[in-house]
Amino acid sequence: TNTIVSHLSTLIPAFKEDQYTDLEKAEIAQWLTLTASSPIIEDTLRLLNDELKLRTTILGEKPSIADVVMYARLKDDVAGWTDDQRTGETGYRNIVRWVDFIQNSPVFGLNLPEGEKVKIDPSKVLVYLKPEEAVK
Amino acid sequence: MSSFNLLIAQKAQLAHIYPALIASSVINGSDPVQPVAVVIKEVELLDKAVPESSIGVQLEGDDVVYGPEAVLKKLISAYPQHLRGSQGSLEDEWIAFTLTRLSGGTKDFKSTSAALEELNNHLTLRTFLVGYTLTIADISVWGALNGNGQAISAIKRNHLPNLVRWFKYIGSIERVSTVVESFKAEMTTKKKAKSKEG
Repeated sequence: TNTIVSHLSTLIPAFKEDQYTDLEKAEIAQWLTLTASSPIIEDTLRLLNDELKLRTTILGEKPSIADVVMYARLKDDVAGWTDDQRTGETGYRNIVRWVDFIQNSPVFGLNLPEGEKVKIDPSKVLVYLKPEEAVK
Repeated sequence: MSSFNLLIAQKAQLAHIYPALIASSVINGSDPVQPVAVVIKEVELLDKAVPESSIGVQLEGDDVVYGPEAVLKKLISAYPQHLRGSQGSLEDEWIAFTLTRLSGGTKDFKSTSAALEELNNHLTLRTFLVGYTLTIADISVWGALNGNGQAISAIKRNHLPNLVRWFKYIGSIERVSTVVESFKAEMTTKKKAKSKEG
């Protein structure tokens, strides 16, 4: 299916290949492979949540086909998560935030009807994490 | 011909002028007429009798309006379509937060870090401060943080991940960061010219 995904991405003007560096293309491919299994394994979710801690999109700041495809692959999982799985001490809070961004941001133009979006209330956070120590 | 002049006193605190400077850049970027002209004056205050007159805005033919808050309000009321999202009252709360907590001239480290922690918490599940697009809320807070040395060094420590992520993302929006960079460059050039004269 990733072959189809890469082919489709070349047809969408917003995600034209030439705007991505080789490193970015490799990152996109890596994430598409990691999330191709169904169900997505917990290690992958953990990895993705860590990755999105300092990144708004999969690539950081730049939108890509990986955001859209992975949103489609993850949304049903996320919709089923409890509050604790979302924003508890070890919840996948960064994935939840990213999903809410992808489904609502005009950048991706998904124009989903409200009923098809994952229900996320951004003001509902079970545990706010304490500031981390400075990273050296 | 510009319809607005944004007047900036060269000696002004950066946290006071960046929000309006970035707002002007966003307006100019979305309007082919580029209605806001930025004018930097080599003074401490634009009007010596008005303490908050480090920044001002003048609509063609009108009196100058002085002060960081009044200038932002003036720009918003003239260009709501470029600066507003759909939740104006929430956006206004962040403007108030900017003026009272981030650019009030306080050098108190504790109060700055409390404000930063509050922002970090608010951004746990959010990409923008209000809604899903750039609004005056992000512009004000990002601008004031960028002009606040304490805030910048706290952000560089990376210990407030949601704030760091948001700060990078807002800064990646071209109309936001380029205007700050070119303003800094212009200031450096002016200072050099000055020291040559002296």
